[in-house]
Amino acid sequence: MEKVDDVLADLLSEDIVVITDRGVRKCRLLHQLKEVWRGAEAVIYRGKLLDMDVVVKWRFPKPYLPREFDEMMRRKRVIDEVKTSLRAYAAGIPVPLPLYADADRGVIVFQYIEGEVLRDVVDTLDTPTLCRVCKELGEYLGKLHEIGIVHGDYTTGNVIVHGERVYIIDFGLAMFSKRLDDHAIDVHIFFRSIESTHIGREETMKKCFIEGYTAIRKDVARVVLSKVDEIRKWGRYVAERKLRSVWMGS
Amino acid sequence: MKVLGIESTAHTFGVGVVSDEHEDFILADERANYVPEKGGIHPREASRFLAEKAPEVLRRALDSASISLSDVDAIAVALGPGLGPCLRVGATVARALAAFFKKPLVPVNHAVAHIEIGLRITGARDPVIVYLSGGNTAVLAFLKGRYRVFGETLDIALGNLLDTFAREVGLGPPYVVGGFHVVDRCAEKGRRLLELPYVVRGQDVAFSGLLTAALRAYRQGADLEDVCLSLREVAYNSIIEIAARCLTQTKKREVMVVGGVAASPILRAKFETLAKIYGVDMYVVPPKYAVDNGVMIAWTGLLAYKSGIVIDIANAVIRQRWRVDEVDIPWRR
Ligand SMILES: Nc1ncnc2c1ncn2[C@@H]1O[C@H](COP(=O)(O)OP(=O)(O)O)[C@@H](O)[C@H]1O
Ligand SMILES: [Mg+2]
Repeated sequence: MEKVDDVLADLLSEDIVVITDRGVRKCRLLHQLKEVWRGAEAVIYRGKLLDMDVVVKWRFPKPYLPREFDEMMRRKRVIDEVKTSLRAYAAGIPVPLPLYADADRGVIVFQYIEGEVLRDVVDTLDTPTLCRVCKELGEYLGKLHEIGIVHGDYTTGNVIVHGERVYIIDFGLAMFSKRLDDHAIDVHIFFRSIESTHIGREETMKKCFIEGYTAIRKDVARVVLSKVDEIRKWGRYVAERKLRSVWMGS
Repeated sequence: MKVLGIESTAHTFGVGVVSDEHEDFILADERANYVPEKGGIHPREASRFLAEKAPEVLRRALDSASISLSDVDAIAVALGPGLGPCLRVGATVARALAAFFKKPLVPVNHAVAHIEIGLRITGARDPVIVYLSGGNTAVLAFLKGRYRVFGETLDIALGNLLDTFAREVGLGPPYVVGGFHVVDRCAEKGRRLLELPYVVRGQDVAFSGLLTAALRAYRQGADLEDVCLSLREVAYNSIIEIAARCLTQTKKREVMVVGGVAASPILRAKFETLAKIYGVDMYVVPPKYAVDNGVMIAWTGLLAYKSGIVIDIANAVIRQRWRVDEVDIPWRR
């Protein structure tokens, strides 16, 4: 399999002349890459871009995909992730700023956000704190939807908390959409991520999330939430086999 | 201990008998399948067929296990999820048998049974479960006492997608020929990948947009083989992606694929590659036990009965929309 060191060889060996009020010096463009997470479609490295702490998100080639298809997908996702992140950042939603991107190589360099992934720390938070965080998450999702962005993977695994601050990360499945059906799917995904991983805290988390979401979206929130109910009631979720066809492999 | 299980949630009336006393745990496995002349299942017609076949299938099961009903320790029945009229047939038979022979009645969730029989047959212990039956597509994993739904289709199932496409463009029925789905076969000669909508949302997939776009491309003159190839790649790979997402999130070390669509060699090869990338073990439930059958109900009934799960005959009502994550699994830790 390909390695990120090869993919980014030129950046990793490039020196930049940095001029500051303290003088002139040479600095590696990108250095000290260290793998910190291997996900379903990307590997995340910590490192430095000049003097800044960054993370590098590299969408690696998938050997189970035809090459052409793989390249198309990775390129599209890099572009969508950068565009939606920048738009969210501009709207004042706390997201890591993309500093550098290369769609051909499947790479984005983001500002590093200090803190912990919410999913890993939910159990350590007391109820008022958890409520505050979830309310903020509701507000941020409400704002994203108001500016026409669907996050696509709004789960507690894609939230970083640091003291009082809450950041939304991973716009890898995000897109622009004003359709309320798409907004409802975002909320549904958030609810289900809670139900499948934070058993016992669902009630607080949902209630406070809805509070935040409604504060931003006002009347629209009601429409979206009723669509969420529809998805959950009528979706495949219930394992109903209404349209079941006959492919029995025999 | 011996348990008799009854399956009648959709198109199959199945009776299985299992025992926990032998390695060969299956004592009987009898089925009758309703095959609609064309199109999907008509619930009422299917239920009529099931009711007609029930006595004969039950008799055959008892004969092949060489036992009589007084020899079994409990009667298990799939009370849902499924089609109301079909479920009622199985429930009626099971209630009557339990009352007449004074046997404990054990309620079984059909989706849980698909998982449990898969685990028993493949030997997988705690996998990410990819459930791909004709009408359902979901990714599940065991967590805190239940099978939790991590992802699923937001609209139609993978099997539906392939069958419907095949029917609309005239490739089927039949949809499976020589172990290959007709769309897989047609895709073999495809050369060019068309851009079709690839929809993964969180851990969910959606296929109805893909179906519409693929049909539109075909009707506008695109090469059918190219459309098949593109459709298959988009559909299969989105399933692989949500499975990978569940693997990285749950950190489980196994993946088990179950359901009729799991029989596709192309899909299986993709899963094998995925398993290699993540260094996990991959299991595929053999088609015979991946489709609806009575053995899976009997086996799950046996596990449940040993954990003390029984239901009063008066309360044994069907549940068409019984969710898999509503069921406690006390026999697993
Ligand atoms: N900007 C960032 N700052 C700090 N950590 C990050 C940042 N981006 C990602 N991470 C870490 O990497 C993990 C995976 O990143 P993410 O973008 O969610 O990729 P994936 O698509 O694989 O889920 C996150 O859960 C988090 O721990
Ligand atoms: Mg993520």
